[in-house]
Amino acid sequence: MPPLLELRNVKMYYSTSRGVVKAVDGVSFKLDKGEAMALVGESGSGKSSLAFTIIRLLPRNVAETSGEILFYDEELGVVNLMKMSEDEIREKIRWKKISIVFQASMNALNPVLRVRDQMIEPLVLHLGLSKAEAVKIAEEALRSVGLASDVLMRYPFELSGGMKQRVVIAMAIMMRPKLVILDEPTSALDVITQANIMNLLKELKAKFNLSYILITHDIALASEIADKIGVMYAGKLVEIAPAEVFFRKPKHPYSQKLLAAVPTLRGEKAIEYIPGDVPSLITPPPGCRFHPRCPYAIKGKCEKEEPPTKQVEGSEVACWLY
Amino acid sequence: MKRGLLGPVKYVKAVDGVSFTLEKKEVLAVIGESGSGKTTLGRTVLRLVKPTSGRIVFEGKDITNTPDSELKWYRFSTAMVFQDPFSSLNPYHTVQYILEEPLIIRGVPPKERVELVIKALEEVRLVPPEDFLKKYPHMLSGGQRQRVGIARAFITRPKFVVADEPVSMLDVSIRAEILSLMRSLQFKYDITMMYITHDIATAKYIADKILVMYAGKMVEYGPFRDVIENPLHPYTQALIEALPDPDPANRFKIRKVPPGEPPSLLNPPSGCRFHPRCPYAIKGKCEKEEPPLKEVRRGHYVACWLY
Repeated sequence: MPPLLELRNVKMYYSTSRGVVKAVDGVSFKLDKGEAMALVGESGSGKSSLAFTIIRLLPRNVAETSGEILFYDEELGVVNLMKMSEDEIREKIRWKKISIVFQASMNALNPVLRVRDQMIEPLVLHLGLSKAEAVKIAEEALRSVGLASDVLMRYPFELSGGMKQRVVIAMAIMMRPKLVILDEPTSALDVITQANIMNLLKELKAKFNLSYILITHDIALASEIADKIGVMYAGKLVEIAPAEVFFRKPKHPYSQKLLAAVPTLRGEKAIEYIPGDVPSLITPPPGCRFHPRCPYAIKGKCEKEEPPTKQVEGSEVACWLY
Repeated sequence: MKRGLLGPVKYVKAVDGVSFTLEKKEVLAVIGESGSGKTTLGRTVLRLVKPTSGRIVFEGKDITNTPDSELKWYRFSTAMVFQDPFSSLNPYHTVQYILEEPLIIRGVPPKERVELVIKALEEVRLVPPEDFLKKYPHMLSGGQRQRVGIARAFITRPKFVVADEPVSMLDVSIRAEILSLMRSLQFKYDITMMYITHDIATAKYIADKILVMYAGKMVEYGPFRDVIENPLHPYTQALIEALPDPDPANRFKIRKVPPGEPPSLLNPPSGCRFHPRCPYAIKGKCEKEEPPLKEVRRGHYVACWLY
């Protein structure tokens, strides 16, 4: 069985007045059905751009896209999302096979539409369902996320932050997609609501055998759901490993620093942080992009040549130390 | 302290009976989710708003009802660090001017001002300082902007600083650095601080004492270590339980946290405000009567009928 999703050397650059932003610069990974992956990185690492590239929500000023995004589905077979037309993606993929939950989605809900009308819109417009069918699906979806059907007739302003986020998640799963991409799904929520939403995501994953790509800068949050952790830095995937392997033995110096910099309540730990700033995606550092901030940078090597990805004790790492 | 907002005959009881003392050089973490009243508490303590009732006493002086015109001395001894690095700096001002402004207001001569600005930038590790003086906020990253906000707060050597969610809009990996920076400045200049946040984990790196708020009420208060190791109030316990540590085993567990969300401050629940969500609510008691604040252990207070 081929993996549900496979990225092969995917690139996505977009142009700005200051130059070409190499937001995604050669990313490759695989994701299986029912597997959850967290894409972890700081702001400006390219992680959101990567998520949008997968679902083909490209910026207007896109300069270059290359590589393959292979998606496997029993109905469609293996398709290359990069090569599909916009119409095909809209009719066959979005909402149906792959859906996305944006950051602070609750603020993206149309304030003048009732929840019901908001939810049935993609079903009726993109997928050609009748209003009655669509409402039924919406109702079922709301139930899956723990909301009563009376929410259907409410306006977004009548709902709390957590409830709005549940509505957005309901929309993402209502057609039973195979893959849900979540971009910082809990960043605007309080800590207890965050825990409730993460519990919900865990339940939905088990119930519907969903695959997730969770994009976050919070590595502790990532551990709440991820089977696999991928670390992005300056448009590159520097490490990818199964969760147990990653948290026990992170290989890339940046991964190690990310883990050490997490404020934790339990356990004694001095504060550690990563000195310096995230580099520009327009003019990234030559060689290994992390070398200016890396405590282990090998002079003469790391600043000249980009390290290839290697298999090291269960992880895939791009680093000259290995 | 109570604060109400008069609309058409409606009160928002943002802060409803909060009492505490802060010793010099102490850092108090005020923890609560959104709508707990914590930001209003911070602004009230700085007298940016007037309390509806109660007293605020600073260095022995009662400043509760002092008119703004007579509060200049208080304003000069205090400062605030804001949550949003994108909206708390005037986009039309250079970094230099942002840092100089509080000094200009206090009548500091120009030559001294420049020295203080350079020193302030060095202290928040925006170096070399000369590179940052002429920059505008939009040229800086979120973390850099927040450093400017901190520099601005500390440049006047205030006695008391209120920091309202100073790191919640920054990446998790940067928070530790910014917090350690604030802690070292606070320590260096003997500054008393109130650190407002919904994230207890960050408070650990800076707080001596902790005050937990829920729906405008004080639910638990005491030395940080004691409260975290022995959380008494079910809400405090929930806040702690809700925090994930980086542990791959997390994905196999469902976190035991109360459902629902904090109530509206316009119409809070009767009795103990947490009762609708509390796993230990005592029927007939918790929904009727508000529990008083009791000292259960030395210096450790809780408002809960379980005690």
